[in-house]
Order: sequence, then C-alpha cells, then structure tokens
Amino acid sequence: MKNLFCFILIFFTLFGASSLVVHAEGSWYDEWLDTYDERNPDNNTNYDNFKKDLMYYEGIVINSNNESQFMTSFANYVVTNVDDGSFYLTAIQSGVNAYKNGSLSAKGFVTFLNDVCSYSGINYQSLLKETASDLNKDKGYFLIPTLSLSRLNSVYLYNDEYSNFIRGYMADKNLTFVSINKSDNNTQWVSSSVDLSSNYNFVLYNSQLTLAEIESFYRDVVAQSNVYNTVVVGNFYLNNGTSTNVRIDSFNGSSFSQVYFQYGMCYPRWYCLVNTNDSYSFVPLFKNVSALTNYLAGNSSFYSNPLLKDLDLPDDFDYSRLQQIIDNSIHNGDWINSIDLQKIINVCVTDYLESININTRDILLSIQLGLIDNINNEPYLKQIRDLQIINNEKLDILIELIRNGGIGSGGSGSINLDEVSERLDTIISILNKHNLPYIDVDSPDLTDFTDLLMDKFPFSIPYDIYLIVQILGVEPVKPDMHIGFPIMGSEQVFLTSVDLSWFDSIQPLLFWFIDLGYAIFLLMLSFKIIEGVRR
Amino acid sequence: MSFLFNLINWIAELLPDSFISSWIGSHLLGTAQASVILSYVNYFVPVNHLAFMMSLWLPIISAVIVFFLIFNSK
Repeated sequence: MKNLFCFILIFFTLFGASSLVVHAEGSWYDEWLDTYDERNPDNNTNYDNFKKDLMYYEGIVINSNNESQFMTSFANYVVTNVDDGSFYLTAIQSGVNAYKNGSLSAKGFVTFLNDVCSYSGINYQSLLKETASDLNKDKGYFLIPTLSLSRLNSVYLYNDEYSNFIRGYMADKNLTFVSINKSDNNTQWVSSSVDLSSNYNFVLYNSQLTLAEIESFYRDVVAQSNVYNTVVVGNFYLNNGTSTNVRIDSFNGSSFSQVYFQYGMCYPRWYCLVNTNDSYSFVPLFKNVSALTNYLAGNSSFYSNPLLKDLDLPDDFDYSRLQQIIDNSIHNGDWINSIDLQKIINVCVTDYLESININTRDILLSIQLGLIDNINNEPYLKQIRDLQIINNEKLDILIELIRNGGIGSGGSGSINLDEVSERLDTIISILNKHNLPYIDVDSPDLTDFTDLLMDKFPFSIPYDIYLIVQILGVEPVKPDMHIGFPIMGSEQVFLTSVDLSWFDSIQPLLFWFIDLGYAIFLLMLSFKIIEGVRR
Repeated sequence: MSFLFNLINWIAELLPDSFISSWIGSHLLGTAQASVILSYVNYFVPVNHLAFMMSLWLPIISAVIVFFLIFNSK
C-alpha cells in the first residue's frame, strides 16, 4: 500500500514539471484582468462587457484528423485589429485574452508560431525574422507585422509566407477559402492576389456585419461558387455586445436556410458554415451539432428537400411555418440540444395534414409515388423512414409487397395517378387481408415519449447524468507541449518541447495500477462507511 | 393510447426544458476547452475507468448503507 502511494506520488511529482507549462499559460488570465483594469478604469467590475466587445470568431473546418488538429489550433487564435494599426492574436483555447498595450504576449505568439510551424513545416526562424524587428524588449511583447490593405481599413493576417501557406493548404485540399470584408457601406468579397484556377480564394478580414450584410455576402459567394467544396471562414463581430442572433445562411438558389451555431458563453456567438463533398467534420467546438451536420450533408436547403417535394404537398402548403418553427427553436436556444430537423419537418407536415383533413390514403399515395420512383434509391427510403409517418416495420412490409407483388415497376414518368391509385388499392387490400394496419398518422410512436422525457426537467435527469458521464469518455490525446523562452538581450527565443512518447510504453501498466489503487481505495472507503453506519 | 400521449404532452408543456443538458451542450461539450482538457487528462489518468468503477460502487454502497440503516438500528 505504501509502495503504491509512493509510486503515485513520484509519478505526479514527475508530471508536475510538465504541468508547469499549463500553469504558466494560466497566468495570462491575471495578465488579461490587469489589462482590463487599465483599459477600463471606469467600469472594471464586469469584464464580460469588455470581453464581448472584443470577441471575434474565426473558424475553419476541414476533413481529416491531423488537419483538424492543426486547424483547431488555428481557430483557437483570434485576430483583432485596433485603431492604432496593430493587432492582437488572442488565444481562445486558454480562455484568455492576452492584451497588453496593443501587442501580443511573447508567450502566446511563440505558442502560436509553434502550432503553425509544427504543422506546416515552415521554418520558425524565418517567420520570427519578420517579427523580430517589432519585438518590444522592455515589455517582452511582439507586435505582429501588419501588411495593411489601406483602402479596406483592414489588416492582412500574419505575413506573406503564412498566408501563402494557408492558401496552398486550401488549394491542396481542394477547399475554397472565403472570408468576408466589410468596407464602409457594403459587404464585399474580393479575390486575393493568389489566383487558384478552379477555386475562389478570398482573404479579407475585419468584418462587423449585420445579418443583412451576411446574407448578401453569401448570396454573392454562393451564386458564384458551388456551395460544395467550399469552406467559409467567418469573422463576425457582434456590435455593442448585443445579443442579436446573427445567422449564416446557406443559399440554394432562391432562398436561405438558416444554419446556426451557438457558442456557449453569454455574449460571443461563434458561427461556422461548411460544405464539402466528402465529409462534414467540424472543429471540436461544433461536434455536438451532429443533427445540423447531417442536415448540411443532405442538402443546402431544406426547402429543396426531396422529401417535401415527393410528398407531393399541395401548393398552399405553408412553408413559412417551417421557417417560423425553426426560428423559434433558434431563439429558444434549443437547436443544438434536441431539435432535429427531421422532427421539425415531421411535426409541420403532420400538423398540416391534420389541418387540411388530408386522408391517409392520400398520404399513402404520395409515399407510394415516391416508392415507385425510387424503389432502388436507399437514401430516399431512409428519408421516408426518418419522416416517421409510417413505422419502419410497416414501411418494410410495404416495400416488400411492392417488390414481390409487382406493384411498382419503376419508371417515374410513365405512371399516371390512376394507375398508381389502382395499385395502391391492391396494396391496401393485401394489407387488410393480412390484417395489417397500413397507416398510422394519429397514433403516436412510442419513441416520442422517451424524447419527451429526455428533454423535460426533472425527467431528463437520468439522461443528463448520462451526458455528464459521457463527457469523461473523451478520446485520450497526447498533449503536444512547446515552451519558448525569450532570451534576454537577444531577439532569439529558446524553444523546447516536452516529448511524451516514453509515456506510451508505461501507460497500460500505470492505468492498471491506478485502477487497482482506486479499487482498493473504494474498498477501504466502503469498510469505513459500513463501520460508521453500523456504529 | 392517444389519450395517454395527449396527457403526457400536456404535462410536458408545463414542465421546463432540461437546463442541465442545455448547459452541458453549450458550456462543456460546446467548448473546445472542456473536451481538449479532458482528452489530455484522459491520456494520463483513466478518468473513464474510474468513473465507471465509481458508477458500479455507488449503488452497492448505497444499498449497503440503506441495509444497515434499516436492519442495524438500535
């Protein structure tokens, strides 16, 4: 027992050294608070007000793991430019804004450069050379070189080499790099100097956009580029810290469907819109919006959702109601947690069908039409399943019947409604013959109950606990630690990194010991508790 | 069935939404910090193992406590 404790003690003492890095970064927070006091002497009690005014977001989303790792690092820095022409790199990940007299803390910048260099292979020194002249030795801060696009009153990011790397990276991955610029009165998107043959490549910053401006921006962009294979890098700023929801809309040719990502804090809201051909992996920030991801994967707009079209809804179907419900969900903040688009559509369609007293036969007719058209089209069938107008088992039976009974022979254009109706009668008669209820609009699915309970307090508590415990099961990631020490009296920075590869070999054994120790601990605790209770 | 559903629906409308899960979604899962830090922690300490063991232990010890409170009281 003693040995075990000694082992654990020694182990954590060893790791105390590496954890110093984290503590060192933690001190940025105090630094930032001090900065806040300096900048806002009149109102320094509520630094949230200050923080929200300076919050920007910049996010990039890409495909594979390594890329996302890098891009996560990239997205974790916020570039803010200020009136005097300099600008800040702000580390979001540490939850800290490293402001100090219009410059970035050396520590933060070195970490940032390390992130960039370790991924891109760009020589650190060559990047540093660009910035060395701006090193403020007295305060230990760097100023980032500014290549100002004066007519736009905005600042080019980092330097040429880095910008080129980003562009090359995007071109390499066949991604389009789009960003937003706002000039005085109108929003523009402007081609950058590097022209990629088949891609649009835009790099511009400093947006303080209203919803209308964002809309018009996306109209422009989407009109000129395919939505697919496009990465939109948003850099949005909420003026005056208002809690107005700014939305990014994807454009399907005639209308926008709204995509909304909310970042957790009270005021800053982070947005990101991504559409690529292959996959839709978001940076970790957005991992919990899988419903939205699926939605994006399906279509650029749900107005053009084949599901709705093929349901053959009459012309007077109130599409605005769908939008209204989604708007309400967004304003209630429900979107991320529980609102599934399919569910919304389901509710709307069902409501609508009830309101116009459409009979089950007609619904079946429209589904039957879809089935005949798409009998071999699995994605379509999946969508019908998701709609949940008829139960899965019944749908399966229906499909089976159509396949075996020769009812649907395919050929979308050649089948007229009478013919389908006739075949439908056959289906219904077969279903009746086997005593199968063929449609089930009125009686709710049992899964509705569980959904209901999961969302509502206090019935949601078990599910909430499940969620909390689930958080602990994050995939372990080896920390990539870099430390940079500015050398006094010199412009050089001494760089070192903590190599943890040795830990991989002892990890299983260590985990075994920790598990064992914990089990013993629980056992001893149990004895103690039992003794206490018995007394 | 339909009546039951309507009843539950009516009750559900009166109940507040789960603020816990929304808090988790927006503050923990929604942030890079929580997941990143936890993934680092998980690399050094098997937090998920420990949580699992705790989840096994808690009901057992609770049952034991309840047992002794009932049958061992003076």
